[in-house]
Amino acid sequence: MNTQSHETEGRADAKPAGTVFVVDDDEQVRRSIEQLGRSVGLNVAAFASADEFLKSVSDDVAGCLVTDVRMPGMNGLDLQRRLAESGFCLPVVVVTGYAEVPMAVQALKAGAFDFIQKPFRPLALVEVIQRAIEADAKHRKQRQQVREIRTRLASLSLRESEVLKLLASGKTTKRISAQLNISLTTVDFHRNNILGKMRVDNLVELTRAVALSELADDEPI
Amino acid sequence: MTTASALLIEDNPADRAKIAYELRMDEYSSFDLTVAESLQAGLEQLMSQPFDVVLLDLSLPDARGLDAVLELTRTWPDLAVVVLTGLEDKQTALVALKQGAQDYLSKDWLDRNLLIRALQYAIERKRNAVDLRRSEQRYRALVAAMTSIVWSTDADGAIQDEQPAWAEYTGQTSRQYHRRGWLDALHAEDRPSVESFWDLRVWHASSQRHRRCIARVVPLIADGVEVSEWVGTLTDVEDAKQAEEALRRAERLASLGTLAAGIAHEINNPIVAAWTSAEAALNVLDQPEAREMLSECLQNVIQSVLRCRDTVEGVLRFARHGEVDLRYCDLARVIRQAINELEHYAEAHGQTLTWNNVVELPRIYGNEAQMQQVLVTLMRNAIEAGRAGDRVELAAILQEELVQITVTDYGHGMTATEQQRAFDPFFTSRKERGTGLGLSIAHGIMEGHGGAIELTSEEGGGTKVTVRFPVTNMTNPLDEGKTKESPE
Repeated sequence: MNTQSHETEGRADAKPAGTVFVVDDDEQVRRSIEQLGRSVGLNVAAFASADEFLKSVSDDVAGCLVTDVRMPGMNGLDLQRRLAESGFCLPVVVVTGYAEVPMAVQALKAGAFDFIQKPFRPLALVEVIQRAIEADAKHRKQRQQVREIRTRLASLSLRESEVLKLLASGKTTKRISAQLNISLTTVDFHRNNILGKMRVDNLVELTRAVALSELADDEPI
Repeated sequence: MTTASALLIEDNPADRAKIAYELRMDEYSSFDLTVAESLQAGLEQLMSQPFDVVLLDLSLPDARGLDAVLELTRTWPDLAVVVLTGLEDKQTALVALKQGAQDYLSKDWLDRNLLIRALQYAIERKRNAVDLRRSEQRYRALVAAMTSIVWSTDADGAIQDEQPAWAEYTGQTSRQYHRRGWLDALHAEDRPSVESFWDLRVWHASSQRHRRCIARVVPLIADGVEVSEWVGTLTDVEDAKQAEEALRRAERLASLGTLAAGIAHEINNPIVAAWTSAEAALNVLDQPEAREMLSECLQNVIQSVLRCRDTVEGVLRFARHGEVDLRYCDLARVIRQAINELEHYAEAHGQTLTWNNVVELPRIYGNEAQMQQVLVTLMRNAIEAGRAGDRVELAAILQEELVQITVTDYGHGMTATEQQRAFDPFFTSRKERGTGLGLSIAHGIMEGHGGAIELTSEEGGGTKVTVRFPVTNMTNPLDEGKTKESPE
């Protein structure tokens, strides 16, 4: 067995920040996932039940959740639903057992990031976890962008907002001046102010920013 | 050509000679004729050998005509009687018929054909009458057998439902006679022959092989005293048996599937854990500060592997009720350990375990690990049957030579069917977890301890399981040291 390959496989990429939350009622499984995560340099927080997990994380956190589907009390699918209701955007990786594919399908339909079936290859789990964390990081970055764009949009004056709407819908300066009954110079003045406030260099970037701002919070970009 | 034995009772030599001649000369029949000259002589003949038919003269010197008929028909009910009248007295002839004679002949009109036919018909008619009487007796015997004690079993001789008449006669309870328990009511010497009834194989000509049959016989008691013959029935159950066997095979396969799924569930988790921890260990192998982490990983690998072993052992224990190492052990400690093991489990289910110990628990002779397993199984079932906020009660009482432990829950309870199957291997009412082996193993363990396990449940009202161990007061110094440690 080539330990080197494990080493490099596990620690190959620079890891995005985030915590792997593990929820499993099986003590040995819980510990092993925790150990595996730590061995590849991930932050891991493990919980024996969905309730324990929900109690300890109040705000939306970064990383991903690995949860067993079959647990006494609240099961994995219920947990997934609760998270969605509370506005958590944590990607959920569902761990299923023997003959539980229907539950996996249910989880995916409810928006799970992925599922993995027991007994899984440990490295397959690492791979899924890393993909989930990357997706989460990307998602968070984009949502941050959207939030910034919205803040900038909010800083525009009424007239600037009007001009922006027309610009974003592809109207020329001439048309805008005609439609709003203002001079071309005034339109240009507003346009430059808008580009400055929105921190974009050109109309293409501006249009894209507006489109992003119109997305719902949990929509992938 | 038929041969029949005939007795001629006739005092008139001329008539005797004529009748003997006619019988001898007939080419289509063969009568073995015996002649008696008086009623007394005739009766003596009848007592010494059987006859098919008697030809009786009604004007014998030592008899008053019709009385002789009565005497014959009463003493030999199977005997055909034909009377001879010399008077052409139809009145007398008719009375003779009423008294049991089959026919009459007038000596004045005696021709050969008439004589032969009268005798043959008489024999035939008598035979039919006898058959009829016998079949009536048979019917009565059957009815008598049916009305005394009616009880029934299935094709295998197992009683499945209530048999009040059997219970009343034998004093067996329904539990005692259930399945083949009714055989216990039979005398030990009679049991094998009765049991073999259900394993009868009879050659079947048209299929050219033996087929399984059920035979039943009812004795025919002649004249209320002796068994004169047996009335038997043979019912072919080959097809039914084959269908039943096919069903059993299917059930066994289904059970195997259930068992396999259960084992897969139980074993996949520790497999995942061992593998994952091992990979984690490999990942940190080269890191200088990894000692602690390595040790943690390896511990987890070992624990997981031990769990696999335990599961396999459990299955094997179930498959063959292996010999158990019995020794004196402390019941109180067994209970304490079982409660410790499940306290967290109960908590995770939002339930409380209560332990109501009103007696000082005796030591019992048994296997600690196994008894703990029984209690853990019962308590875990109880917890899983309940809802958050419920409690599971554990109580022990001493009852004469028995210590009785009850585990009570107030959960969903069990249906009648579930209760019946509760101790069946692979049966589980929990859809999510479990191999369905827990209670069957517990049952086996209790039997191995000379104890018993009993379950009462009410659908929606909870379940109560009772286990009883025999108490032992004996002390064995050799065992003293051993009670402290347990091999597992």
